[in-house]
Amino acid sequence: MSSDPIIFLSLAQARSGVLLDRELPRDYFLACRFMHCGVIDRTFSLDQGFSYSILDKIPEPVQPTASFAELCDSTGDDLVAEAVRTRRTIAVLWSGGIDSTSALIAIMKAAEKRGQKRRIQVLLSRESVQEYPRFYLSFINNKYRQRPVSPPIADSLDPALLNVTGELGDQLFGSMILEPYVREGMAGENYEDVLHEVMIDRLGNEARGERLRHYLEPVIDKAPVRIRTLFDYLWWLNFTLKWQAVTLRLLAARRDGSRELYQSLHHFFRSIAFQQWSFYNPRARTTAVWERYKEAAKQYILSYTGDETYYRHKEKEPSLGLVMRKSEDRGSPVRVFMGRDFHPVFSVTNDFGRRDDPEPEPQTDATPEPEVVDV
Amino acid sequence: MSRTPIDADFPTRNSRFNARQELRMANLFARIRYREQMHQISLKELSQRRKEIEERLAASEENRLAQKAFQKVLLRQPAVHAEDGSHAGENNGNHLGIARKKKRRRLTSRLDRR
Repeated sequence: MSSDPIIFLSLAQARSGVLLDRELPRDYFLACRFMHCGVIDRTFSLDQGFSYSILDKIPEPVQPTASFAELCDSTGDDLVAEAVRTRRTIAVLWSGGIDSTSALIAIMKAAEKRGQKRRIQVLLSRESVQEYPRFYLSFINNKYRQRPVSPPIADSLDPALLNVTGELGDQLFGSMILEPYVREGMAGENYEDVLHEVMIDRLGNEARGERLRHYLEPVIDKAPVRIRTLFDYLWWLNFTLKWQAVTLRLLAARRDGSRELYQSLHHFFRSIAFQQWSFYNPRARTTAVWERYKEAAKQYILSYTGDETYYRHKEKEPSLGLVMRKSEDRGSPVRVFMGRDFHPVFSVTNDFGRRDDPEPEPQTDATPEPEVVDV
Repeated sequence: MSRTPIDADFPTRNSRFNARQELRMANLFARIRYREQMHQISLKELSQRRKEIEERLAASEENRLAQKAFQKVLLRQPAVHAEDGSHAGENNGNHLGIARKKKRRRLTSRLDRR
């Protein structure tokens, strides 16, 4: 395993400061803390301190001709066609959030068009129903097969099925980190003017912020589009540094995770076309009002449901985060990493082993680290 | 006959009347203040507020109906439990009073037979 490139590590593993008995670089540690995940850099420009490989390269910057809605429709169609071809059931993990509702609608539309409604199974929980009750009543209940699941949702994945999730939607549109800055009206400002403040907010002091900013510069330089505002900056970091962590986090939550399970997992937004859409549609993903975040996805939902209330008021919530782990396990860190065999390796953890900062610096402007939900 | 201190504290018919009267006046003033405030709100704002309240009420009613419908699904097909593959609702309808109702039914029919 020691020579095997790493494809995933959890935030707790990164925070321990050690991976496979080797110290992690301090800059890398800060990047993980800033992004709230075990960073895997898709641009290959950071020294992460260990050998790693990436699953999805950053696509060539080619301007897509299809709109977001058209991409959703064609992805839904492809998934249903594959399910028919391989004679599998599509299990859609529906959290009730914007991303998974968009994915479910696209699949429903394709299944209805092909007369394959029986091939769809909606995996849902009480929390899913609570998040979007109107959709549940009008479009799922008594219309599609349902499979109630309880957290952790990863345990409900069946490798024999075609498991579809709404993961990676957040990486296309921006980042949950942006929420307070959009609300404060900072997100549209030049990132060089406000980054200093954001770094202090998230890392606690100026010196760490400066260090991380310098460390991340090569990632910003690799962007195929101009990074101008704070919104652009945080979107690009989420897109490049968190993509793989999100791709694999469901798999890493299972002790018996395997390549077979990985292959059965289809994240709806994990396609080259969606990524290219994200490059070239800054207006569609950027917003000055948090209620308008993920506008394109909300419009897609509106066109199917006609639900104006949802369109106007629904805000991004970390809905999947609620069902990723058992409620009693939330808050306790799990140290896990994964090599190219897709088999998660768990290590015993306790909070005493957590290293908040490998080389603590005198804090000039100490503020408590903000609690950010890992979505 | 002089009144004892206890008698002095005891509310007379007159003092009860006064207390009620004060309460009425306070309510009246509150209503007036409320109306004054309401007049300062534009009609547009009022209809917007009304719409929001209606939407909130509808949403909570929808949530109640959706949870009720989902509960039926859970009863038919309990949620898959995390580790052991057992079901959340398996053999424990107690929280719904099902086991209790069944027991009562059994007991009643036994008594009937006697």
